[in-house]
Amino acid sequence: MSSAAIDPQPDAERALSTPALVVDLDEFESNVAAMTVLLRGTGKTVRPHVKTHRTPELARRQLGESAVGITCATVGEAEAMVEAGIEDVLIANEVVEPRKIARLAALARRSRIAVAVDDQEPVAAISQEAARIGVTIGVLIDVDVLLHRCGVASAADAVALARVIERLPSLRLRGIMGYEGRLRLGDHDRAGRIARAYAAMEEVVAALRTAGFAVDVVSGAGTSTLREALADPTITEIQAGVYALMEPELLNLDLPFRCAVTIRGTVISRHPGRIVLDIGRRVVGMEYGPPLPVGFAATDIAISDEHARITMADPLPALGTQLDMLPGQIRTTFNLHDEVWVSRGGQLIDRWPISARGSSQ
Amino acid sequence: MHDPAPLITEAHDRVRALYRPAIGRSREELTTPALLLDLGTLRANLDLMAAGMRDVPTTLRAHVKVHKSPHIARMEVEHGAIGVGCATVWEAIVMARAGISDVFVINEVVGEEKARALALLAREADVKTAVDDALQVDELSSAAVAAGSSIGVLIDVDEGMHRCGVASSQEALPLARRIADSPGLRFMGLTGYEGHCSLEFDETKRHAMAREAMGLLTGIAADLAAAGLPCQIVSAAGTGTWGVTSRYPGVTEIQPGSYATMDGHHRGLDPRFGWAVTVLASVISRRPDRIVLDAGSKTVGASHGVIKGWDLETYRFDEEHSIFLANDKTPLTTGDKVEILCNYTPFAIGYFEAYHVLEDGKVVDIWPVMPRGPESRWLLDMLERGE
Repeated sequence: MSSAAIDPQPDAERALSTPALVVDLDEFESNVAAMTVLLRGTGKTVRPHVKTHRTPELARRQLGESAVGITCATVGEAEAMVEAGIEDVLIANEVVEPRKIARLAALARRSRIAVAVDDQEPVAAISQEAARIGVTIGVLIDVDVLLHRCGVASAADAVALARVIERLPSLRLRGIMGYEGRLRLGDHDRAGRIARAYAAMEEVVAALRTAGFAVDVVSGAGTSTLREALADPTITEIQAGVYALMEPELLNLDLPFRCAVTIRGTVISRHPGRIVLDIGRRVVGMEYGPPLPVGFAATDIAISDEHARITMADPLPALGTQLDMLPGQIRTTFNLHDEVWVSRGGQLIDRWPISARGSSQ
Repeated sequence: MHDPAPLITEAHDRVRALYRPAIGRSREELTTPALLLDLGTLRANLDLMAAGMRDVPTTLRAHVKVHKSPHIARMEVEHGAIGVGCATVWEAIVMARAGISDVFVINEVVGEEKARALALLAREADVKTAVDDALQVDELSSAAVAAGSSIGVLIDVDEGMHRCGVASSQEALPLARRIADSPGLRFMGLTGYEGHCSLEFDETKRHAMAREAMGLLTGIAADLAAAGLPCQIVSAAGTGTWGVTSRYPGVTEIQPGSYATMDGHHRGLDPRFGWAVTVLASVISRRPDRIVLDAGSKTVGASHGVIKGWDLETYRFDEEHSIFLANDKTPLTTGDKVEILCNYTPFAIGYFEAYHVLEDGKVVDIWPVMPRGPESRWLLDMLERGE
């Protein structure tokens, strides 16, 4: 698949209406290139998690030397990405509803599809639907290595599920996945928990191989645990997503990635010692705290639904001034927008649709 | 109220086509996660508000920023609302095209493009907005003159939230004069939002805070009247304070929004209103000690929620999942559907494009969430093309 050329007639003469999401393409490309350099010689690949931005134009630009396919969290995301021409998709999540299983199988007609499983019944339903329409679906056994969310809890359970998969038509066991990428710097016993997660994955891989199963893929990790994953011999594929756009909280990990996304607002009200921007919780994800100022200093930031109240020293910017902020949580922020503006060299050059916005089904 | 314009009927047709298989189905048969709107509960909420407004000297202006639904807004007007309040010019365009003739953007509008949108809309509807600075007044006046329309302007008063708004009569007076003297603008009065009161769950304290805020607001209105600038409209209140403000002498209208759809936060302030909006989720993984749902912070929102009808402790909310503690006696299994009662519904609504509208347990219609924005400049393009 070739990477798409930038729209030769961009809509950039048109004024940007705030609040607006802006991606700096130079920074984004630099992050994608830095990931390629990190992976070179390790024998590992990255499978970019596109739930981060739900934007096909960004997803396509993350593929290349170190990435042959993408990771999705929902069938809806996968549909939007396959529609955009992406040919290799892992849905790193359990799919159990019959109508979603039908959509999953339909996708396998157009793309190489794999899905996470942790239970016999959905596995049987996926096999039945795949066989009915004549496709093959790859499966990864989801192992609960840290999160206490989805996933089988032991090597014995994984082997039992592999035996079920083996007997069913139209499924191909590709390997396992386990996700420890949520651990952040400063989390209690971070190193120990990562080590135990990798040990658990290694134990499951060994048990499966002893039982005669091929395990080609061991998928896991995120941007937060990238360095540990690169050093681990078991992991073959890294599901990181945030690395391409970054979040301020992850900058202290000392990775070669820089923040590439800002949200632009307008000063709509101004009073002694404070200004109000049109950036509120309806347009910016707040799970990791309020957005941070870019190019101006604030002593306090209070965010309500439609407003950011910024307490700051004189001189206050004039009413109508556009200011940029760094979103703390880019994944939920992208999910609140229909499109993202694209800048290069400080100039707005295009707008891309966030096609998979809201595709949580 | 006029009939909805093609803008609304086309959006309605689009989501109906997209979710056609859901129509006629019960909750248990829907694809998840889905945003549910229970029509019976919504009607009961609107009836309750209408009853509360019957013997008070104020009128109801329904704030639509929570639900962003032209269909719910029309029902609110049918239940006695004089018009709607909006947070953005884009919401105002959608609501006017839904057939609602009185639309008030209760927010500061800054920027030539948004002023132009309001001015063009004012050709077809009674459009009002809020200001707290001379610059906004001048921008709106220029836009209205260019469009040949007239915009109603209210001064935003800071009632204690310390966000937007003027804080005193000294600030309000010159601004009111400037509005009154500006071509294309009509000075209509004052608006304020005592949002700081809605963080106080002690009703006695909250009501006292609301009275103090109304004292400030109506005091400024009295000063303006004494200076020859009478306020036709004095607008205030939210779901947490409407009981006090709707009766406060000198206030002419209230602007609550959450009362229609409700959520955990607002039920803590006024439990008489019911949960009309919920998020339907499926159990996608069943472990011995827990259940995992396919709705997390990317559908329910950052302020999370609880499961309706089940007393299960929240273990964690992730982006695509929520996890609740369960044991082997909890009769929930993979594929089961549950409803999540959101602590703060606006966040959930922002993540969906449509409501599954339920009546007597069956989906009877699909309604669009509109405008989803914030990238809604196409609505200005539409007005400029004269459509």
